[in-house]
Amino acid sequence: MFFYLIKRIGLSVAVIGLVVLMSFALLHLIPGDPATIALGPRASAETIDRFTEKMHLDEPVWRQFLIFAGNVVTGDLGEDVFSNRPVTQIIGENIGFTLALGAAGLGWAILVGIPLGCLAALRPNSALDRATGILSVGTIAVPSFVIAIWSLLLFAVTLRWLPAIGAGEPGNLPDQLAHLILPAFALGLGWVGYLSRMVRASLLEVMNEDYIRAANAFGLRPGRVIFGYALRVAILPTITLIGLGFGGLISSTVFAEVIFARPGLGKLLYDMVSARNFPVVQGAVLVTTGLYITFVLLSDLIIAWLDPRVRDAL
Amino acid sequence: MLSDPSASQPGAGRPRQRSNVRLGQFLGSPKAMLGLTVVILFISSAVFAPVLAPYDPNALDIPSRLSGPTWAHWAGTDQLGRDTFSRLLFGGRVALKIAVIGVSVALSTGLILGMIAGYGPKWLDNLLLLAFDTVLAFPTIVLALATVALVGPSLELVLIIVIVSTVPGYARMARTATLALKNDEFILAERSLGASTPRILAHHVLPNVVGPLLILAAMDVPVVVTIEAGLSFLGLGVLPPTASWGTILNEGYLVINDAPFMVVAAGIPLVLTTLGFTFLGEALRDIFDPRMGRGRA
Amino acid sequence: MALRNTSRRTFLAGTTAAGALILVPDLIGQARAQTAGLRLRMERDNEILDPGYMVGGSEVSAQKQCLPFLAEYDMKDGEVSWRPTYYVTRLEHTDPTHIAFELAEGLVWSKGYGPVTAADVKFSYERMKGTDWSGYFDALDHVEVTGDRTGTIVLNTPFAPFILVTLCHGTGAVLCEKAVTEAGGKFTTDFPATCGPYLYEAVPGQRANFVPNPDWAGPKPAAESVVVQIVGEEKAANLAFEAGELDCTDIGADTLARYRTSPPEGSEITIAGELRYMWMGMNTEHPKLQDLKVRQAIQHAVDVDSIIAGAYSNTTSKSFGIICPGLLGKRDATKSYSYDPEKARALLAEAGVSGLELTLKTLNAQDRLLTAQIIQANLAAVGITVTVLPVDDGTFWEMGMEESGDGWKDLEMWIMQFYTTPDPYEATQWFVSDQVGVWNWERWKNEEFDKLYADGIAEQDLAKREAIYLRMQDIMEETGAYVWINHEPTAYVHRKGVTISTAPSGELDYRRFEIA
Repeated sequence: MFFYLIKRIGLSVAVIGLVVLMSFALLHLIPGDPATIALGPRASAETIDRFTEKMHLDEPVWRQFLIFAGNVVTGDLGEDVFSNRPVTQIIGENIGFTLALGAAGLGWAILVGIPLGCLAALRPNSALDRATGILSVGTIAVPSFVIAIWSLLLFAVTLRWLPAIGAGEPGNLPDQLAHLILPAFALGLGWVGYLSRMVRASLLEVMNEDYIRAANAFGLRPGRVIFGYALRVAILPTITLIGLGFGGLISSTVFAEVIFARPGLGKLLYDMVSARNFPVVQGAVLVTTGLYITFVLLSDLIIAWLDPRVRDAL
Repeated sequence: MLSDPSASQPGAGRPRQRSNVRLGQFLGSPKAMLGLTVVILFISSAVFAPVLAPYDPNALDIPSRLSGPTWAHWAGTDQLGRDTFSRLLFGGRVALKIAVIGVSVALSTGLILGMIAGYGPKWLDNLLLLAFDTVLAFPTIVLALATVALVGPSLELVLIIVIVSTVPGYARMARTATLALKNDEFILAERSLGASTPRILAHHVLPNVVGPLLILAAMDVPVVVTIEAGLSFLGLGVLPPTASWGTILNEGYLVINDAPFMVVAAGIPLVLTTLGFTFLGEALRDIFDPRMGRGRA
Repeated sequence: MALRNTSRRTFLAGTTAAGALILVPDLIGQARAQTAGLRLRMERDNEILDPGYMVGGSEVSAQKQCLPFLAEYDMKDGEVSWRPTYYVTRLEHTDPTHIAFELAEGLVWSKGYGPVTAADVKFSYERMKGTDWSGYFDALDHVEVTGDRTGTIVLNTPFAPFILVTLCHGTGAVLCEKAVTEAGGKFTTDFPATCGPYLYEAVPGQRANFVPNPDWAGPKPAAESVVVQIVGEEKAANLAFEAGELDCTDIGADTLARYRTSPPEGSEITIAGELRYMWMGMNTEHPKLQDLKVRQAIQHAVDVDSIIAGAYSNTTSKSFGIICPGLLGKRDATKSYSYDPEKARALLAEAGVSGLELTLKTLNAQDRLLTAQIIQANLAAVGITVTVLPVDDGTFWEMGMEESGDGWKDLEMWIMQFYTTPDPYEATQWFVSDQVGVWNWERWKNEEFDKLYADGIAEQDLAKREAIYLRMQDIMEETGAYVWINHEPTAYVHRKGVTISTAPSGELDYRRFEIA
């Protein structure tokens, strides 16, 4: 386990290193003065001078990279071109909204998807199973932004049940929760299908294994077999899926945040691209990819901890 | 991303018998037939859009702007009075173009890189794996936004994003299959007889690897179509007045109060196409390779 | 907007974790009831609050809440005039070139910067002559300080509209000399020192908060506090208003057309004015557009009426020049062109041009993209192929600026809209020879135009002044570089019971809102 841990974390660090290298290289691959590119056309001469000095643009490229990487490691992602505020601070103000949205979206999908998958697995090929099957393919295939727009049209514009835009008033929890419902619904719907199918498939596989057959033969109730034993094993691939799917989730939050005019990392990234505010764009890209890598790593580690066989596969 | 779920499965090298049985299974599956019908409908409507469209997709007719569905305009009109139905048909051409070019380039690039990784030296394998993982570490939209910030929006950029973000999927699969074959007795024998590496790859590895990749390709089409529509929705894709499902959806979103029908109409072809390809891909997978599973990109 | 049922709300807060959908409509009702203060919208972050370098719009609104002004707009029955503000006890012309002022007693800068002085006024106005907004101060000679709180604004020509145009707009803001100097001479996203009913706090990308200033001794505004949310998309803001999440928001052409026939329940519409002018510009120095005949052909090819119908739902008035409705010198028609595709083809043939391909750049906003696509179709009809290039606002405003690189050389055609103040001279200042490569992206120079500009500022006789501005627009039209499009009204929808206060150019002044 220890060896696996080292190897796995080492790989993640290497990937993060490459991501940092790529975001550094992007600015240097584009023809032109890196300071102007990084700060965008609207930065003042003073800001450019300060940036040139801070990034040591007069030094060799490899040293610049080390300085850049060093800054990233210490949490210094540079400054906003206009307000001169630290990018880290701006991201800090937004990240909570995205994490809340992601957690809510994934959370309701787990609460609905996993029981649905279990029910389907209990009675394979029953009407319920077939309905779940069709429903899940349907929800997986429909792009989240179409769901977001359609639910906006239905629940906010036509029925007026739910608020349409924003994240709600700061400090007003009921208001914030009301604002979370539609985006979280749009974000999680596809996941309901994914999770139920995955749980159903791996449950069915596990149920065929000897010890479960034995448990069944001993006359244990099916519910107890499923929730007591089989699900514990069958949940493993689902955890991988959740970890892997986090990248897709981040992509979907961009749409949900833009469509519902909700603050968050995705909206920040989108707005800052329009404003050509490169230091913030760079920071937001680094943080979202960093988040993604961390989530994949965590899910891999959880799996390895739960299932020794995986450790040898690397 | 490193614990590849398909790593322990041989997947290839199975004899090619029972193909008639499989065809029968395919034709008998309602999922497959439904998927196939939608896919054929999508492809033919896109190819024959110039014939099928009742109006020029870019022709303005300002007096009849923002109309709901009527006999003259089945799917209503947009703010400039352009026929939404005709624009959706032409939008299908953009989606088809991206899907065909994007998926085929990604598939062939992924195939080559994957075989190199699987058959080549260990260091190269590790290097390529690291590269794939790095690309996969970027959520697609984030990658697209970062690139657009630097070079500006265009359809070509959408293609590049689509290709870059889907190559690792094919490459990983091709690598796994190649690895499984590498030490197959048959290939060892070929090698001892002096066959060159390219020859072995082309004649023995390729035919066995390409099958699962094609199924993956079918399942990737909706992903690719969604990426294009999503980027165009955000204004990062095609330029006006070109119709794309994403831009029509965006135009509809902007008049969601005045003409709610537009976002409904614009979403339908997108949903149908993604559903059709997903059904088809799943049916193919169930029949040809029941154990193949895949995470979401 | 009082609290309705506090105990129930608290109870709900405890149970929402369950997320039961049935409770949702109640949740919103409760959440709305809790709001105190005004909830407004702005399109983007306030990036530069400094009046010398501001972009405008909501930045002007912020200045009006936090900085002293000598004069403010006084709008009655569509007539625009000015009146002295709370900050002064005297503001009047002693003769055509001298304006005497006396600041009120007890005005104090925040953060311990002491009282507001006449020296601050001198510093603020004289510094404007060296800034991006110097055009507003062309008529200013200097400011004389005659006491701690008294002084005289000295003009170099008898320019009557100075108070209305310059002092009532954001450019008339008074800054704290000491605080601004300490901040390095200019500022961006925060005020170095304020003196007004509200304090300013921004949460970038989300909102700007105006909270009560504890040091403020002047009249209390009707709204205790103001939250200005950033909602980029206008449609999203309309949705938010209809859902009761905003008290007031600006509305575009389509929405205005719809609200006129069926306004949302309990709401009213206020039109601030039509002080905007939009046109399609052409770079007269670009090789493809150098030939006057080609530019004239394009002028004849564009069907402005269909733009007004297609992109603006017939809610805007057609434009024939840069002087807006209600102002001296407004034209009623173009002289040398009108929509005539036949004539356009003939002019192109005369110029010997065929297969022309041009790029039209526009801001990436819905109405502009629609306008651009209509122009694209119009020009296609006379054989000109147009590529429409949407440009984000990060780069749009620099396209023709020489100091931002060589981009202006490739600029061919673009759609532009300027805001103006209620005097015709303001709009003409951007097209004089000095402005070539700054805001005169069409890049033409005309000596008569430059002379008329100076004459227009000094002229006292209304009829002569009108003739000057009419002639200036003739000159502009003859360059062939303009296709004038429309004057878009700034329209707001707001709750009944909230009386809004806007400048003629559309900027809101929150402190002057009235709440029934």
